[in-house]
Amino acid sequence: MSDRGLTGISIMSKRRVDPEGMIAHLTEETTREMHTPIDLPGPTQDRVLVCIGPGPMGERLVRAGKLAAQSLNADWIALHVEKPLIWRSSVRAREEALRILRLAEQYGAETATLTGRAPIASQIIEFAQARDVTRIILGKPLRQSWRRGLIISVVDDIVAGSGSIDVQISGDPGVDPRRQPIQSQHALRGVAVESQSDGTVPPWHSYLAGVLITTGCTAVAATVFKWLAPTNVAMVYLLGVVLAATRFDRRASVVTAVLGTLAFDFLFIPPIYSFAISDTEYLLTAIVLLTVGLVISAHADGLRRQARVATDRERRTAALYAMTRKLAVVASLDDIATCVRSHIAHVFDVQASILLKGSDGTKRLLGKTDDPSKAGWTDTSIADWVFTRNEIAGCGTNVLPAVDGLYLPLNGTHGVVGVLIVHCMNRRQLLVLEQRHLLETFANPIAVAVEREQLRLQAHDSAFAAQNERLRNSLLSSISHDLRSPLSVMGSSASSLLEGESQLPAGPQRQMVETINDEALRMTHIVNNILDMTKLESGPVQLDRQWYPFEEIVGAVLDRLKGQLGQRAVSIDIPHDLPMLHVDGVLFEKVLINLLENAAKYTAIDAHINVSASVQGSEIQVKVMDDGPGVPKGLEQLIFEKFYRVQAEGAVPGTGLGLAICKAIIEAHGGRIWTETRPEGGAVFLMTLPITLAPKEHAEGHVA
Amino acid sequence: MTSERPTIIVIEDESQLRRVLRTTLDANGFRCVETESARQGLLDAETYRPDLLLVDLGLPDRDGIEVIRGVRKWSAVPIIVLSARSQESDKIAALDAGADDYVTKPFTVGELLARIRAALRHAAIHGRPESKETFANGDLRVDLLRRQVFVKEQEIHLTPIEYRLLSVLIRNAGKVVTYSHLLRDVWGPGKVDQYHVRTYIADLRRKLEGDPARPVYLLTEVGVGYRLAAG
Repeated sequence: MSDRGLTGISIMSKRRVDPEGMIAHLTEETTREMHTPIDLPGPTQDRVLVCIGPGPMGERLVRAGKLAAQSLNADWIALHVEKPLIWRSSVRAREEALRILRLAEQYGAETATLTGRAPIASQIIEFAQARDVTRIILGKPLRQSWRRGLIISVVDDIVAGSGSIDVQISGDPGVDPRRQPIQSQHALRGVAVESQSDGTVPPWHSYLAGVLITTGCTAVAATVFKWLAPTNVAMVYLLGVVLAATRFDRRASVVTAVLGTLAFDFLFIPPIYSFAISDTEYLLTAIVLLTVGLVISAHADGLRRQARVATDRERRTAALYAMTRKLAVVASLDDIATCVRSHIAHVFDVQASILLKGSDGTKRLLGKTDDPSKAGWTDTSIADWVFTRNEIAGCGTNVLPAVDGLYLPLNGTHGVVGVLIVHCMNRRQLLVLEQRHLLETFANPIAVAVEREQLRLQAHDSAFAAQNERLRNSLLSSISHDLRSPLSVMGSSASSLLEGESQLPAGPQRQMVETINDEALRMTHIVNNILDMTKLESGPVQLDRQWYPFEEIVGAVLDRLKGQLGQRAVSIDIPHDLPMLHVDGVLFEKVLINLLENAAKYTAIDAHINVSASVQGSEIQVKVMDDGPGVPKGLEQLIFEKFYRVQAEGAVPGTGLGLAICKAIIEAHGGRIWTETRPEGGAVFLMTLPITLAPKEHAEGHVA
Repeated sequence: MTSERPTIIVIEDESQLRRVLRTTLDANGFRCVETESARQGLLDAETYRPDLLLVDLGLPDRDGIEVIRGVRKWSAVPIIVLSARSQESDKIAALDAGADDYVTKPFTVGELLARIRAALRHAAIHGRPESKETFANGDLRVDLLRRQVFVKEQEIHLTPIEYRLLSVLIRNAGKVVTYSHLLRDVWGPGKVDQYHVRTYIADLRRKLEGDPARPVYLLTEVGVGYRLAAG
């Protein structure tokens, strides 16, 4: 409590290298430093530290710091010295301090906040040493002279403890020194009022406790008075004060101290039943009782408050730790968002979401709020700005301070990876500097997690690209072989027709023309398959879903494959009540064509093929069965791979793409395709498609 | 129009294919006028007043669909589109713009000639003031005056919508009719889902076809529409 009047402090010195202390300190206190690289500049490098207290001199100090930094060509740090309990300073004072720090940031300063715990002076010096500060700039203390006498000035402490660091004390000529104490007192009053309103116990409760404790003490004192000297009776009241201070709050203990002293005087000091004191010895007892009582009150109160701060910080550290630990194991960006949302909401009572930007500039907002009433609060344009400028924006900052959210850049090792957007029901909470810096602390592990995840995705993508490359190569070799053979057949046939002209008899001539025709068809087939596959693989498949009765597609396919199926008997089993398929007709037709072509390719000329469909739960299952040799054991999965062919090159022509195309199409429809071997021999290809609810049927009467 | 032979204008930018088409058409009793651009094609269509147009959809200067629209402004001459595979949406667009039919590349000569003949025949019938009183194909016979439908001389009862659907297909027998065309002609301009077209076609098939999965009359052009096999 000794530094309330610390209006402004500033300090400077020769650099000292103390890396250990530096790191220990940094991890403990400041947040901004965490992502500011701690370089070890040459010994000539100066660094200026401006200490900004809760007084009105801030702006002047910032300017002084800026000037000093400029003239020394040095970095500078604006250090805000806060009370441990920021809620104890008045809103006005707090906002003022925030404003000053922002101003310092604008002037190029690094900012840091020290949560004051006595002794503040040594804390500042520790910080200055850790950061290799060469000069400290302090404001001249503005304090009522009697208080200055009582409490050792922080400035004096700093000057005394600064060692090799220069200390510059900046006065404020613009302020009337006589007016100043009134202002700081004003601030003090604000604090008192606020601390009252912040207490969990209503004030009358404390006062009542004080009165009751005093009464109790008086009762005890009255019983023991017979055996004790009045001086010792005072101890009973002191015990009461201690009880009030530890069990209740400062109000209770002060009331106990004052009432106790009065009661002691009135009841136990001769003349009894009078406030007069006849013996000067007892006067001293009464004064000591009052003083000790008040001091105990103050200290116990301070201890309790510090304990509360410690608990609070502990809770946040635990939350930060928990979040960091959880972030280390989450596996997707969405999980990161969920984790961040729950942890930040837990600690700060705010809504959080993360905006990410892909390398192609696409934006993705993770952790969108489910509450529609708050859905509109995220302004992506602000987030955009934060992303590109790498600066904090929103509530309580320099940029768009009027908006409701706070937008923090998430800094990874290679720049901004995203923006943490925080929205709070209570704007004031975001205005609090400590909260903001804490949020920045939270932002770090989030940034790391997001970056890690993005890198993982990138690695995955490049692995995917490498696989694609391999596929492309196998495609090329496959195509070149498959296309070259029909081409050479066609070429030689055509040239012999040209050269031979009339010499060739009609029979062989016709045969050659037929060969050319067949090979052309084969090539067309290959090229079509490759085109289909390319299209299916070139990105998300655009399905033109329409309603089709299954039999309609089967009919079209059978019509088209008349030639290829030849003598093979095709039976069809479709229940009359089979729901219509909601599929991309052209693609689904392709699946059936490929399956039936396959069946035709691998079965004898008089084989039986069966096409059937049935409802299985919420799916429609389609089966294509044949009585051919079936799929060789162990290859059931492989045959759906691209370019996989049961017989490498040979009797059965093809590209090894047909089934891969089927698989891609069925999967695009949300279905599955697989193969089984019939116990009686032959292959079964099965696929499922989810049943889609048909649109409402129009009654014919309405439209007819 | 002095020639006895029907004139066909081929608008196709690929010269090899043009050569094949010219040879084929010439050999099959047609007079062939070739052109490689949409602009020239439109001019030729006005100059020669052809009996049929073969239009490639992918032309260098303009979309083949624009040629169709341009010609349709003043003529009902049959237009057959030559389209690449896997362009169902283009086929639909062409049909809706007024094309009569399409042939998918690569096509066989037989297929193309069949389509050309069907289109010419259809145009000849359509040109007459009073169109046919009956439609017949195989076992299917439809009396268009009495609105009666017979399969193997057995009268089949159709609902009003089913009959209207069938009559639209009969009017365009041999040609592909797109879903939207059917919707427009049967249900009117209201918003009805394509689902209903399929439902009614399926019902119609069950009534008219021996095996709905192997239709003989109501043929499906998957992704484009339906075609009623011409008698």
